[in-house]
Amino acid sequence: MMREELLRIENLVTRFYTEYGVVQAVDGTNLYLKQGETLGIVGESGSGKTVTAMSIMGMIENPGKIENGRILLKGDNLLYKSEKEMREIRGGLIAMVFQDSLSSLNPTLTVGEQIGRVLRFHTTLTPHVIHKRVVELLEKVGIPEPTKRYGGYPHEMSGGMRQRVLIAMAISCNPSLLILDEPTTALDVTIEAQIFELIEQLKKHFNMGIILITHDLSVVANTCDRVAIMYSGKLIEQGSVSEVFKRQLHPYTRGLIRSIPRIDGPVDENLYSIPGEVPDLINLPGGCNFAPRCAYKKDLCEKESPTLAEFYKDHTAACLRVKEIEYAE
Amino acid sequence: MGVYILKRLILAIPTLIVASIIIFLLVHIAPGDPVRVMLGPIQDQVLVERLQQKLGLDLPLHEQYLTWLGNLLRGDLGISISVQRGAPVAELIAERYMVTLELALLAMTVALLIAIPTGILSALRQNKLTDHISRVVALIGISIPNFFVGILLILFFGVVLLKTWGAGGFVPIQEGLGANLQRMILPAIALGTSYSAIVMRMMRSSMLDVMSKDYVRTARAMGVKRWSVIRQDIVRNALIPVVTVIGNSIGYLLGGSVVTESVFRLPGIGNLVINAVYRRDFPVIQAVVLIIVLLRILVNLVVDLMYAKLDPRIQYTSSE
Ligand SMILES: Nc1ncnc2c1ncn2[C@@H]1O[C@H](COP(=O)(O)OP(=O)(O)OP(=O)(O)O)[C@@H](O)[C@H]1O
Ligand SMILES: [Mg+2]
Repeated sequence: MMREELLRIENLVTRFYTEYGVVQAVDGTNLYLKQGETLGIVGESGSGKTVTAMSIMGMIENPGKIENGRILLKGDNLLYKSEKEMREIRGGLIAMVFQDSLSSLNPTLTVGEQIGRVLRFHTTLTPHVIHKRVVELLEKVGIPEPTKRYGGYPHEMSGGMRQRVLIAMAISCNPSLLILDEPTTALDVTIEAQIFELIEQLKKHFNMGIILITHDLSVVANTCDRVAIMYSGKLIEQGSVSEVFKRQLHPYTRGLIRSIPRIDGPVDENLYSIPGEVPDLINLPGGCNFAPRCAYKKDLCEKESPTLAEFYKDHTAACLRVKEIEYAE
Repeated sequence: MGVYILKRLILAIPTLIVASIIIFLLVHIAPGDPVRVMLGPIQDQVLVERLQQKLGLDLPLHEQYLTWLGNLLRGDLGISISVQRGAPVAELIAERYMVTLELALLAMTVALLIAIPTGILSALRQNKLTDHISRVVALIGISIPNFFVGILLILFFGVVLLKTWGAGGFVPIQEGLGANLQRMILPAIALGTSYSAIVMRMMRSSMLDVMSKDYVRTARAMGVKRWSVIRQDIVRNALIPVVTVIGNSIGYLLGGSVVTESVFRLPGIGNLVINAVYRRDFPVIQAVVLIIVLLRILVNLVVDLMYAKLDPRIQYTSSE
């Protein structure tokens, strides 16, 4: 089955003009996503994952600015949309569940009202039908006693339940694209597994494209079709999950995969971690951002900034030394 | 809820008793003798003692206190000894409180009508011209003393435009709402100005605080209309801490405002207290202060109930 392309981002540049200088939060990102597919975006803290998502949502605010690029949703450039058009797209065609789900619900509105008003703004349904829909949605995301929960407040629910409410809100208008920004960071492991199970189920049911932001590669291995790795505002590797896990082209990806704890590994094994620190996004030295931490760095790497190039079918990387590194091992 | 209110009211009793002891002691220990004030230049020792005996001032303090408390419990606030000799204190206070209560409510209404909209607007237009202007005006409002605003108002409106508005004095509501309001509106503005500035600043900062909350971002990400985000997410949550400030201000206003009352020659409770203190009218001072304490307790209770109404996270159970 040929899947249709849902989202394509070309050369996206998003900067923040802060009083300390210009933050290069997203620097020339290219990525795409097909309908019904899940794309994982992985990267360390501060690598620009959330800013990429916020750029898609059209929610970059002062002092931030999208300075270049195209964001095509089903071929339609979102950067040309007015704020009013974007408001219809948000929650309608694209929905996003943010990091910090515990504080993402209004404490003074009931759960039912909060989901209901999303439907009210995007559909012409009557209040009665909306009420019924909301209860169905609550049921669909696995909230017990949905009729009773409808009138409940967020503080009466556990973290996992609140995350389910947010997911219900996000899928309420059948979006084509669902962005989940670290949906399980605040939750414990069992709840995390349940949430991912729910996401999997919903994805099949609604045939949505999903962007899953995380810094956990093992989550990506279990839930995603494709993966994009970000480092200091740049996308440095992208490809199908099986491809990327089979042959990591970028040294940073290698480091990331080496640092995944293994269930079958020895218990006292010291986890690998990439030496060095993430660069300051205000004063980037030029050249490859990863060079200062890279074991394979050559002089050229500090001068020339690598761009994404396709090395295998649907597997791109931004590194000047891919070939040499690959054959070195 | 009902149980909670009852519990709070019962808890208020010990507070009131302690307050009554403190008030009583302060009044009686402070230098100055009502009898000597009453008699003025005639300082005849025999007369003084006779009067003291008649007023019960010669008894030991604890006996005086218990008599007062006993009368209080029977609803008898006593008789004024010097401010308006022979008049029942209860009547005196009731009459004065009408003025103070009306002034307090009007002043607060004026304050809120100005403060809430400007606070909201100022926050929504943070660092734009509207914001700068309202903040400067608020700063001026806080810095200028009430009496000065009062005098300015009298000069501008009373003398130049509408003579009756700034004429001062009080016309009871029973004699016509229009005439009453004419006298009350300027003092209410004078008194309300500073509160308006305080509430506006609080509203603004509370709004800004809420605007950066995750749930506001979520609402926007779901395509909720701007106006609805402002109303349901921002203002609704921002009001919660502001209610406390409003409540405190009302409690404070109910204590009477001596300065505004005297600028506008209003016979309010502040005016009564000052008079009673000058003339050492013990029963009046004690009763007024005790009533102010009681009103404060009631206002606090109402504020707490409103708090619970606004914020579903707060639940008053009888165990609290
Ligand atoms: N409003 C803002 N003003 C200034 N800088 C910002 C703003 N938002 C993000 N940034 C900067 O942009 C960069 C990328 O941030 P982003 O939130 O996208 O990181 P992230 O990959 O989502 O990290 P995390 O895993 O911690 O969520 C960071 O350096 C951050 O400081
Ligand atoms: Mg993030």
